[in-house]
Amino acid sequence: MPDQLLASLESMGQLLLAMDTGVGLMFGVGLSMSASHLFALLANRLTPRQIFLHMIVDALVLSLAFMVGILCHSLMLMLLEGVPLQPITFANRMGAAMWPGLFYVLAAAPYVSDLIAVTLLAWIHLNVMLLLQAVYDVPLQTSLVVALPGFVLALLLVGLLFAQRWRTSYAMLAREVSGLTPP
Amino acid sequence: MTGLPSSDTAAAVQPQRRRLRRVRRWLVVVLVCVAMLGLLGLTAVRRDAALLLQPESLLELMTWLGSVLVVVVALVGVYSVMVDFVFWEGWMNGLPDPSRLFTDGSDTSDRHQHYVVYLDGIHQSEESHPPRVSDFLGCLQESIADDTLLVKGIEAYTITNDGLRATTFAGWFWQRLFALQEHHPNAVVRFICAFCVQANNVIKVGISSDRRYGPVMNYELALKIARRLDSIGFRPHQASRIVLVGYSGGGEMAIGTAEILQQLCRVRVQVITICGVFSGNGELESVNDVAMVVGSHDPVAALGRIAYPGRLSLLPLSNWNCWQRHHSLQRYTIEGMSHNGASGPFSTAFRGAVVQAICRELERSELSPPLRTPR
Repeated sequence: MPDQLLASLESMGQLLLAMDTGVGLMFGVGLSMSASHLFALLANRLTPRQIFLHMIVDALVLSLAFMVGILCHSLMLMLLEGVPLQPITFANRMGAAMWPGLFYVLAAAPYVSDLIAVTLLAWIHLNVMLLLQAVYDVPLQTSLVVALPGFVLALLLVGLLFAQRWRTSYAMLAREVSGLTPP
Repeated sequence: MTGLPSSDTAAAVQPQRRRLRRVRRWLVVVLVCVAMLGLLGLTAVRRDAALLLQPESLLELMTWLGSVLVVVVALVGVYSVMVDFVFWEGWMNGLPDPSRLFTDGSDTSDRHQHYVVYLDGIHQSEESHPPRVSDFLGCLQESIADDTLLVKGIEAYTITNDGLRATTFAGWFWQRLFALQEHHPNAVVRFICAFCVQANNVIKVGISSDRRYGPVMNYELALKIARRLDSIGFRPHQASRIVLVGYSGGGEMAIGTAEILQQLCRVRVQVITICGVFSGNGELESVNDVAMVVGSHDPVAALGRIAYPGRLSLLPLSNWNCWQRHHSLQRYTIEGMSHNGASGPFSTAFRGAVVQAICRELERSELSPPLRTPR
């Protein structure tokens, strides 16, 4: 059973390697992640211009999280496996790992959003590990160590962004409801 | 007698015969082809059916079904959120102006001081309650004091005053579904109907407990309850308190709306849940009294604690646990009571015990301090 699992993971890695995704995938993932916020922003009765600005900020923070993750992965790869530090080449090779992010818009669903978000992020992490194995021939156990710090850092950034959004949403909504209720 | 000679007649009939023979031949060929295709199809179906029963195929099928289910649930959830937001954003005539509530300053003939508002479980599809619930409410009505009014028939899972039949965008679907149930009241149709209603209401419970969308949904429901109270003669300066009694998912709706309702109605609001399934995410800061009537054999309420991890003691900083540190939660455990059916809270076996627990809580909390100033 473990051998079967390892074999299927390896074939998944090869499949990811064969995916020539390009920049379009990143654009799609970014759009999907921003769209998942759109519904929460609607709760605050923001104007289209304000919503657009919020989504730009979201996109910037998500890009930052992605860059930090890539940089961290490259550093870890250099430290543990001696692979020369080439973040852009690395990002090009790892791009396909992001495809589950296309479904991130589903995190807009009520209540199960956390579960969906965590599942998709974990899936992306697994894809990165598989690609590390397929491209750099890093064993799965080592790839877990290589990919974990960057993933945790990126996750922290995304988590902070989302938590901040919720706090802002609460504050705005509380103000609106207080304003609506009779004195 | 007029006619052609026999040789001429035979010559005239020949082409017809030939055509008929040709048609018959083609028909036989077509039938043979259809039979062969049918046989091949049957073989393929049998082979596919055999393949389908292989563990790998079953696993793949389950994976696909699971994926489709996740996507469908998420999409329906988003749709449900959007329907709530339509009013919040001011479309479809928006929400009623809350500043017009209780504006009639004159005293009304209604001399009730306490208002018990009942919010039903996720089986609710219209304002009227099922017979078993109606009997329970009748029993509760008889047991509460004369200065207490029981308000029933509030649809807790819609924003408008009507039931699912009159919802804004999906009304046509519910109308057809309920019509189907009325015309074909068999077990399958009843099951589909109950499944759809409960799925819709579970999603509403999910929205109410969601940190992003919950406040909007809860505000809309609180406004609906306040308008209903206004229509039956509730006046803030005459009333003493509002008690929200929520069964099952109605418990979440009650906890979610309590604080906003307190702001809208300007009287103390307390919550009593019966077999409540709730997240504890709702804002309860200024709500003093929350009581739970629980059954010792209630698997749904127990499952609710897992589905809503914020209520587990493992997360001390959760909203619910923070509230519990500053307030005392009253628990009334009824031995042997389950979630629904013959051993549920509305059954003849446990109805009395539940009513008694509610009355005890009403008496206990009557002496609670008055409304604290909301934020």
